[in-house]
Amino acid sequence: MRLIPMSAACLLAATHWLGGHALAETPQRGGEFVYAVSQGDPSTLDCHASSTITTTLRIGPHYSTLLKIDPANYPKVVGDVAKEWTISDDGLVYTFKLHPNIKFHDGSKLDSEDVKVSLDRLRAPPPGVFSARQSLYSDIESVEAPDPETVVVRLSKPNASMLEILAVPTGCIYSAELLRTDPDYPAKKVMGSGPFRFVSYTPGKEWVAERFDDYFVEGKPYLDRVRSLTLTTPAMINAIASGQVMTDFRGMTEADAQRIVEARGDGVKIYRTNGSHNLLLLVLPNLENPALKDPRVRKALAMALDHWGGSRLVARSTHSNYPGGLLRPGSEFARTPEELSKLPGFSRDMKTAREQARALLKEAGYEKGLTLRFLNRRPFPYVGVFLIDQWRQIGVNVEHQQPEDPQFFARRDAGDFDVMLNAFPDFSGDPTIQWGGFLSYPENKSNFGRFSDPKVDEYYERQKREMDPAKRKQILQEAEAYILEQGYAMPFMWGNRVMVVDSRVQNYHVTPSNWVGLDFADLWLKQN
Amino acid sequence: MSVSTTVFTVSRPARWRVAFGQFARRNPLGAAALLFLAVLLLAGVFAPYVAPYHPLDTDYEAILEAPSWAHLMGTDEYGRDIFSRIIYGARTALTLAVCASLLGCLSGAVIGISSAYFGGAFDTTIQRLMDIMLAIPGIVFAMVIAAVLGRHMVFGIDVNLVLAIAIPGIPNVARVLRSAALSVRTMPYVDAAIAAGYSRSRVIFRHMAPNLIAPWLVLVSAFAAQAILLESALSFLGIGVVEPTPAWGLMLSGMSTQLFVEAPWLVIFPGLAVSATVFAFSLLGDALRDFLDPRLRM
Repeated sequence: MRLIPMSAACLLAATHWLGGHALAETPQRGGEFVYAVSQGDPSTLDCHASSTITTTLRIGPHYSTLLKIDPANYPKVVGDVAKEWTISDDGLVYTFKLHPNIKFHDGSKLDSEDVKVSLDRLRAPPPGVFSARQSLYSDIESVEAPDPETVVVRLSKPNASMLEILAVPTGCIYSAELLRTDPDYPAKKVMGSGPFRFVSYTPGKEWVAERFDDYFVEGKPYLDRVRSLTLTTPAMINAIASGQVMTDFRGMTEADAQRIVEARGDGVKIYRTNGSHNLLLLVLPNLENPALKDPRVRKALAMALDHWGGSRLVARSTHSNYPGGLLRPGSEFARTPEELSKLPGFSRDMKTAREQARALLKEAGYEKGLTLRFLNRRPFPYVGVFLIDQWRQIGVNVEHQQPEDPQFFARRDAGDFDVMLNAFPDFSGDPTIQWGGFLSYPENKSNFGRFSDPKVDEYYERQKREMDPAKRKQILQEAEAYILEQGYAMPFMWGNRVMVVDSRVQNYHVTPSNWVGLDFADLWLKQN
Repeated sequence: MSVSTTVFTVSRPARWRVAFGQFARRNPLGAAALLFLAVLLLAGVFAPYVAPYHPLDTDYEAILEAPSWAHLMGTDEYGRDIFSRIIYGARTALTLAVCASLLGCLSGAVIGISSAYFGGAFDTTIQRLMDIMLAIPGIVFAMVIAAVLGRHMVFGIDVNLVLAIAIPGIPNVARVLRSAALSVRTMPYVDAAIAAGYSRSRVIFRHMAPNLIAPWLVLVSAFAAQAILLESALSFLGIGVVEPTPAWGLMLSGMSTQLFVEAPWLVIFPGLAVSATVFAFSLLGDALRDFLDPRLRM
């Protein structure tokens, strides 16, 4: 008698679980996804010309790329318009097979010619067109389109990061036909083959997109509309707390996240990367400053920084509070915190480290102190608070300068600073992509610290060509130690990504980079 | 025969002490304000001896601590002692206030007195120019100047910030002193000086200006109060003093705006410092006006 109700209860429970689970896993169509953009308006609509996320946050849903990073398995590279690919044994030939029947938003067909023309535009832009990441594609010798569904990329040398490079979110595939009539059409018109088509853009206010019914992935996207609102950071926090927007991809401090949870309860969910965000704030000394030419002075400045204490110090003010070297903490190449603490600037014994720093300054002839100008960007005042206090303790006086962005960039490019803050945000923590700024100046204008060191160039080239991950890690760690010992760069902190997302948003995966997953093809909204 | 002489010396109190005594008797509130400002000035000058901590000292073990014996006014989001930052902040506030008010009031005085003395087309032109400047709200005017000029440090003072605070206040000073100078200009001793053939600059600076000192001092005091408010507003908006300089307006901005429920001491104490100092300058200005104006004395 007891057996029957027990079995019935078990059956009921199992049915309920299965049913509930199946319902939770079955995407629902429809709804509008509204998110905030707190980084301002895009400087260009052409993703090839953009190196900042402000553009990708808006045009990401409108374009396809050859490959992309899988948000569910970061940093795994998966196909976007490419269905599959092969790499030759010598690592010099990449052959991609494309999905059939891919359409642009104007109804025309996307084939291998569009991919070839877009890759050529990225690696060798025609006159009047700017390709922000042109140097990344320098190893590509040629791109061929032998048939409408095949693309062959030939390299001059093997490149360990080539798949990541071909998955760059700004590597949008444009229409070859439209480019023939106007090579600069992407700067004026948003027309791609992504899951959403462009509807409207009101600068300073909003960007609206709607579902592209002919998207090449069957059944996707799930959302009807996507709308982004341009908001300041405090307004963004309030908008999420009041349920007006569903998230912001920049992330926020833990304190802000908790404030929103207090206001919304189960209405929102917190996502954390459980590791660092792919954003490195880096302090660069200007080697054209006579004092900073001396490696002892640079090393002293690096040694004076208490990263472990600083991490706790800035935790209330920013989500950039994750101590790490030049290799993203948590990545396959990074050192453990114990290994890191042997490098300059990461000592856990700050008393001794500061004594050594003072001794180095004395040896370099700056016993009586040194005065430096620190060029900082407006959103990062806490970096100034931290550095000035740390360097004050070894007798270095710092004038904190925080001009508006246009002045900041002009002064950075002109070398008008003693030390400056540089942000390294990117879709990938791969050093080939992130370390381009360490290649020797003056050939490399993005080396803002203006140093020239053949040894660093050699390290960069060696790691780029090394296809064995273990050997590559060893080269990278040697290079990291060398750059930090020389004081060419002083890491401040890595980002620690904390995201608050409306609970209705499903299939969202937080990744160490906020550049990833911005096509929204997989997102869906749970209907009430 | 020897003559012995006894010399009696009558010690008279110094003139300033007599004046201050009279001032305090007639305007006890003004005297209290003066005393407060003097204490503030001394605290700023001797900040390293008065403040218990260095204003830039961060302490990650003491982030956002409530007021206690260790930190009388609590700590901020970087663990910095707020009391120490307010003491050091007095340096920033008073330096900027004194520099900006002297610059603004001296420029305003030269413009106003010259305008009154020369009259005619010169006076009309200058006054229309002052009208144009007055039409622009002070805070907007200061923001534009600060944003366009950026920062330029001389002896630890941001001279461009001083200009941004001083320039918007010049028309008010010029207007008040022009009207005062117009009445002085009609005095017989000015006519006498002109008849004696003295140069224009001598007439203006030796004969007119000394008789305008009283209203000018009142204006300096009021200007200083406005300068402190304006500096606080500019720093609050992010175009005045920058972190980590201890400045009251700056202490009211940033994380303070987000943490005022959780850590109200972040805004209460810097806010009180700004309000008390502005109030003291205003009281002093009123008291000086009462003390120096013979009509009000009668």
